[in-house]
Amino acid sequence: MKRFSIIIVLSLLMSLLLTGCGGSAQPAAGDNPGEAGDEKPAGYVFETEGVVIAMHAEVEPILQKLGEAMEYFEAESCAFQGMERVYTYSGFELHTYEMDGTDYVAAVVFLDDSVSTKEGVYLFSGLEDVLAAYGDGYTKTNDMYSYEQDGSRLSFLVENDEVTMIEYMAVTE
Amino acid sequence: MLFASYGFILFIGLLFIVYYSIPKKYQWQLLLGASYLFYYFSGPENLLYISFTTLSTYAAAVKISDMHRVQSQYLASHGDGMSREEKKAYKASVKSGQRRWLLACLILNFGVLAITKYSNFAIANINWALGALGSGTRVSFLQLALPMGISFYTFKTMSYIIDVYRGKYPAERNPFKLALFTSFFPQLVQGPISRFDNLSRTLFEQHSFDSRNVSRGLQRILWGFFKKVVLADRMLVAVNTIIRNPDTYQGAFVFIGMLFYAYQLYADFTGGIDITIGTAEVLGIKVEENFKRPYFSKSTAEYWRRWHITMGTWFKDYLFYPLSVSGPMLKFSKYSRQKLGDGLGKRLPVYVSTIIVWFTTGLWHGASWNFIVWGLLNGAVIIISMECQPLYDWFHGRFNVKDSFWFRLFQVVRTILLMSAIRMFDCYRDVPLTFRMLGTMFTRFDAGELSLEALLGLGLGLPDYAVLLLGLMALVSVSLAQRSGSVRDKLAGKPFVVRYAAYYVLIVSILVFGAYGIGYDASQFIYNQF
Amino acid sequence: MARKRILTALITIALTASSLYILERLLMPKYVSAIVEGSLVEEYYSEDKNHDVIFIGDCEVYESFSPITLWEHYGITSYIRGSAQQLIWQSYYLLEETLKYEKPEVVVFNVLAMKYDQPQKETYNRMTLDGMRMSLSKLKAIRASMMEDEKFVEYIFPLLRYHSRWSVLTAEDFRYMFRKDKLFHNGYYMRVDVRPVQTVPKGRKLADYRFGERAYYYLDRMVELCKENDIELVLIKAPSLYPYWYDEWEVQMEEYAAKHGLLYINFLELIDEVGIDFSKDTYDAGLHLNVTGAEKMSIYFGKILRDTYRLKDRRDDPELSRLWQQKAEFYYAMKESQYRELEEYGYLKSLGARPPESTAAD
Repeated sequence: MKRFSIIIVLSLLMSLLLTGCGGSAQPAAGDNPGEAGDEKPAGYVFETEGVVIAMHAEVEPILQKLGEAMEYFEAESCAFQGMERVYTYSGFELHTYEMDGTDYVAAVVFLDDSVSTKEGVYLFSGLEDVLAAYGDGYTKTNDMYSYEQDGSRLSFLVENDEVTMIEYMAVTE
Repeated sequence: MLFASYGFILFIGLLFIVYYSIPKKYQWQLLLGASYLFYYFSGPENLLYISFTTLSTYAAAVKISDMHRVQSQYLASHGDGMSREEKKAYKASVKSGQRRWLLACLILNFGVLAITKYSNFAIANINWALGALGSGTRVSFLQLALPMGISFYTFKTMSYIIDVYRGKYPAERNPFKLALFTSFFPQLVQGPISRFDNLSRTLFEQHSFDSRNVSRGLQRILWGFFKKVVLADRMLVAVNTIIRNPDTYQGAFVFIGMLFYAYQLYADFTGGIDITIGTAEVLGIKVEENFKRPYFSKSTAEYWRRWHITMGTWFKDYLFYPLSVSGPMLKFSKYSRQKLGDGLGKRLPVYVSTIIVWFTTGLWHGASWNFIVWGLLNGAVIIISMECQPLYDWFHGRFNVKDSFWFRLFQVVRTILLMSAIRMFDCYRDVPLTFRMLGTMFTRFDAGELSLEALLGLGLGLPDYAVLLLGLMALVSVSLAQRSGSVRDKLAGKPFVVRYAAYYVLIVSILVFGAYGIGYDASQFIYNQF
Repeated sequence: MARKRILTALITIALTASSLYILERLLMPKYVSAIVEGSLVEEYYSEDKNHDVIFIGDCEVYESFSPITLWEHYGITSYIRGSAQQLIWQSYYLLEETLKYEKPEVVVFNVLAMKYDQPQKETYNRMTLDGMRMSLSKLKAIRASMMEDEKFVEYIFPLLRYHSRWSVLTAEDFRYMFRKDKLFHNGYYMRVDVRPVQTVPKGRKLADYRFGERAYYYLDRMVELCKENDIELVLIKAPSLYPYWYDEWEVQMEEYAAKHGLLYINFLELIDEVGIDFSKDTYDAGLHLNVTGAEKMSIYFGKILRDTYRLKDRRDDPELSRLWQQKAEFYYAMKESQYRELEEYGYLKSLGARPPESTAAD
């Protein structure tokens, strides 16, 4: 009997090992005890004068809160595949994309240092300010430091230790 | 690989051609290769699991079978000189050796199934309990991929080892043949859960090209694709809209969702089984039926004898029966009869077994409380109807309606509604939500909400509803026609033009009306992950 | 008996295949009104294939040059093989295909497509590829262009892609099942309407200005292909103000042209020389030129082509003259009808343009 117990235990251990190399996937019980989805804007969010602008958010209500744009530009893509719109406000540009007839936020681009990110980084801040605010989870392409979170990308262009461009962008996974 | 994919069509097309052009004695080997290839496409690491199950089962079965043989040889040569008691003791010792092998094999393979499928469910519950006890510690989840079809092939092989243990048939001596039985690709994804003695009759045989078999098989495949791609995948859009937006869709919409899901699941599951059986048929292999017009059932018990038949019989043969004759259960039976008398006392052990079986059935369907509650409710309905039997008898004695068409129709509709309502537990996010939603059907049912706009808001257009309605009519007509024999046999007797038209209509409907391609999600067979 | 069975089988197969083909023709989008750009590629096949110049590229070629003007002013025969957001590998394979039909003296490629290193949108892929005739070039173009969720077989049998259009078929789909009227002028898409430029946003800073490897790879192959066939390749950047053309991109193109001994012309720098007036010569505020702009461009560029590559004036060929006379008549007729439509409605309704009042910011 003893021998068999050993076989069983060993086999069980082996099956554990076997299952250990099963690769990665979502846990099967994802929608079980205590998981409630609440609808807060996800990812990096730009805020100006109390207006919250999240990437991929519907543009219409945001425009209403922001009021009239200083400048407006629209670019129709070839063969009517959606309209790109750019609204210029004091300190930043709001870019939109179109899907099924509705406009969504595509990007926010800073124009001057009258606006800052929610975490307090301005144009002309130093690289250390960026790293202090966002940590080192960035990906770096040349001088551009990009942080990604839930369908949004926040990028800083750092030239001569000075942030010369800040943009929020909607990304699609 | 999904059944409803270009890859699968190409795969079986090529396989059919090669299968009938190579020497017949290699056919089953080709099938083994094809099955492993098929499985490889779903993720190479999965091959490890299925080989492990195959090998462990093979070894245990051969060992058990050898013991059977040694025993009969020993008894044949020494039996005369042994007393009765000696024989009995000898047999018992052999049996206990066999049992160890069986147990090792069962624990091992159900262990793998448990770990891959249920460990995260267990961890989630442990964490919940820890939280409830005020503890701050949490167990972290395992990152395990659920191997495709593991519930199905585990059940297949475990029925095989138990049958060998019971001496129903000797062990298969060729490990590759057992590997083919385990991995036979048409039924890898969603059953049926075949028995070894049944499937092996045609699986390892040599098959010559038989145009009748092949065309019957192809017809069945087409019919399966039609149900799956045209009807189920289309209906899925509306079902998803309803169950994913419980705040918006309540009351009458839950009712609609229930009916839509009943339609969708039926078309999807039976369509998949049609593709399985049809594919096997083209290869000359006979796979047993898994459905027998379940929506014509007059009671829940009957429904479960006609829906997912191979699963029901599996639980009956390998869980319910052994459980009922197990030592503790017999003791309990005796006790309950003493205390409660011959009526309820006799039935109570059966009920306990029933509850255990349905709990397990629910768990087998999915690692979540949704499925467990779903299983238990099924068990409860069956027990309640058994308890109410005297009432029914009284009713039928009083009113002679038993054979009237309308009463039977009432029974059928009642069964469909009951099953559909219980089935909602595997739709909604969690159990409390399901209860709440089912509740709204009674508390705030407003048929006026079901306006045309509301129905079109579910993601389907009028043309889609038209397709679904025509499809429903086709499903019902085929089922009605089936009662007097195979539809394909009837079709075979018709002139060429009629047969051709039938093929043509099916092919064009699938191509044109199929809910596939860009703009539709390639929805997996619902049973895929079970 | 056996012969009868074979015959039946053949007839059945033929019937099935042909009816499926008819279905496919019916269900494929026709691109004859509003989004006409999808018809650009297929019009080439019904042409006499004997051109001095072939243009390849995206909307910046099929909106910036008018072959009729090139003919009328210089006697140059030309064809534009362009389509909406035509990616560089699509341009390459279209060129490869074109060279099987004819051998032009000069090939002109618009370099805006260098900015795309990956396929962008299924709709654009379809507009370019569905119109191509079946050929090895087409198969290669499909392979190069497919997005992740696209399937090769759905390009071979477009029925598999467009089957779901059964519920949105219109009379147009039946009418243009097998034949379409001509919509373009040797690949030029005419627009006579005007929407002046107001503002154009500056280009946002990019992390990496270097064109992608894939883009360069196909540009190299294009250079190679032209060299093998003894064809002069000209690189141009059309004078569209948007999408923004970065200085960093300009430098790369200049360097590339110098390295390979190619002529490269950036028309953004020549707007005044060409005489383009962005208050009159564009129909969508600076993205695309309208017909007056395209004609100006053709007059300016035709002279360069003629002088640099000594292209012969072919107007004395009576056969060609007759052919181009017909083309010119069609050209002027369309111009007139577009002006008429403009006058009547205030915008080009038939081409899907928006009424003027909706152009303001809302």
